[in-house]
Amino acid sequence: MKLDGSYTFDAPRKLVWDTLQDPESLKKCIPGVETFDQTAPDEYQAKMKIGVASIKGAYTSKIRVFDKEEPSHYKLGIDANGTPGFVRGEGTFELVEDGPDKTTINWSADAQVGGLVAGVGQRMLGGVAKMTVGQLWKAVDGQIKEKQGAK
Amino acid sequence: MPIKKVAVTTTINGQEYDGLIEPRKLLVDFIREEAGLTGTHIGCEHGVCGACTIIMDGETVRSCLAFAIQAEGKQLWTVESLAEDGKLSPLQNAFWENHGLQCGFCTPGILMTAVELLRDNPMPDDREIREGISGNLCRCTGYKNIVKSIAAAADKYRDGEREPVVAKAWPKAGGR
Amino acid sequence: MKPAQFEYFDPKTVDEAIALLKEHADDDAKVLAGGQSLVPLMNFRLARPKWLIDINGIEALDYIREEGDWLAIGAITRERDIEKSELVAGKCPLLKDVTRWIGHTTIRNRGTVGGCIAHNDPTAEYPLAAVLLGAEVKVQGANGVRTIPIQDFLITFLTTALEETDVLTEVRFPVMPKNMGWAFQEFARRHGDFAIVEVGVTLSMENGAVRDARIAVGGASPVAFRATDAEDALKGQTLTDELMEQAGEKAGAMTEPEADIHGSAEYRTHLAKVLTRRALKEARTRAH
Repeated sequence: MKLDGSYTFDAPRKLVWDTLQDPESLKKCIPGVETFDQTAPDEYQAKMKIGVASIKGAYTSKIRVFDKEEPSHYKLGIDANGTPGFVRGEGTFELVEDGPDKTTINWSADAQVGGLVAGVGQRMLGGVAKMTVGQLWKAVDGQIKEKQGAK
Repeated sequence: MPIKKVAVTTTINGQEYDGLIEPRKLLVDFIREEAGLTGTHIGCEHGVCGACTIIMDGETVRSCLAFAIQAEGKQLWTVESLAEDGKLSPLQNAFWENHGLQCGFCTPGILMTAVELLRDNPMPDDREIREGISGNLCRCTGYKNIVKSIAAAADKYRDGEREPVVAKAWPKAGGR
Repeated sequence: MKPAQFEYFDPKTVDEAIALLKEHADDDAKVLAGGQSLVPLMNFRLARPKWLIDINGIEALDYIREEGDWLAIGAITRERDIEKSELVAGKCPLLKDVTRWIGHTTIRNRGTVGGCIAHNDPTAEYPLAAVLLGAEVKVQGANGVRTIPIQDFLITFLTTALEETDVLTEVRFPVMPKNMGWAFQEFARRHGDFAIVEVGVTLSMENGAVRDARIAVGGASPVAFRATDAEDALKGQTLTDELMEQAGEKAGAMTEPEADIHGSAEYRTHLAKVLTRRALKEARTRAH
């Protein structure tokens, strides 16, 4: 499954980068996160509930951040397993400076989805993925605004 | 979660059946297992194939999309109710005479659908029959003889033959 | 597959249902209406509610009545009853028309208008009809009763404004003026399948020109939407073939389609354009 998109934050690029690399912020951004722990530098383990409306599943995921080129580029790998199935994939993130207080993140992801959710849940996949990513960026935006407010 | 069973009593083909079941027990499984009426078949378990179609309180229902507990106190009619005293009903005879079945897996669902279809529309044309059975999947026949059989049944009713289950499943005239 | 375990409740009033939802809030409680969408999800174990609250026994929610300029329909009114209702045929003919596209007779025997709108499948017919006609939804919950315009109720893919303790109690559709033109076009691979794309149109004409046009598109976005760019292009204009084609283009430009085994995203956009044009043409024949 291939997805891509972009999201614009009203914040300087350094702040967006720092927020995205900060495990404390990430913990609050991942939709349906129940636990989020750093297991090694740039490696995390998370338990999360992903889905929409009544169609939710619990997943245990291993996340790692790599290919970092501060503050403009990084990649993220995910290996999530749960009762409804599994998700394995990689995302590439480019942070573009649109101005002193504007940053656009252009992202693309390539994911392999398997198990129950990929088979009988096929109709749902695209919609759920879109929604989950949307929730993620909104939450990151919220975190960034919090940091800006705190300044 | 500990399994909490619940008592359910329902009437199938005029006879009462009791069960002590988990709430999640599907109606089709209750009919086949607790009631031992295996004429109703499970094809897809998500409501698209129609093999599990029965009549409940005067309307066809996908029994794989209902829980047994929802049938509490209701009147159910399955394919076993069509024949009376060992005699095939006019609808069944029409299928027999017009080769309307091969493996027979979809047939019970199609028959129950046809009972309601012909009750609502005693003189359906070809298109109306096809639309009426569009919710029932058949892998064997290609549908042609099924349509022919239903049309033939409609003719039998016009000639004065009666489908025994209709008076039982719809005791009051009118209804839906 | 068989569903995961749950406990089952059978309230007889809306207040009872809300009390149950309150008791089991935060713990996977779900309202069961017709079950024609929810039970398949449960059978696949894509949905695993722990507490199932069956509202089919709340008879007070089964009604179709005219209330002033509105057609008020109780949440558990069966789709089949809407299909056969003379009141609906007279006051809201488009609603009757879209109903026959919902699955098959047997599905419509159990499926409910409330359940359909609360589920908000982007390919479903009732959310589209509601968006097109400007329906309202009545919701009752722990925080009281509220009436929500459909565009605020249907949020996105399978998501509505219903909160954890809410029960959708009524859907109300505006009575359609007698001279309003209307049409509904759906494309699916087989009759009764989920729509690939569907379009609904209403037209009010004055002196041969469009006074008001409404175009709603389903199946080509996470939620049914009004193609307002296309609607604006039609206002005050005579409906030529060329203009209807342009309206189709504008409607297509507003889609955000998914690709799946039934068609690519481009195909869905294309369908939206074609069905908009066809629906406009058909609606025009009904408008007077």
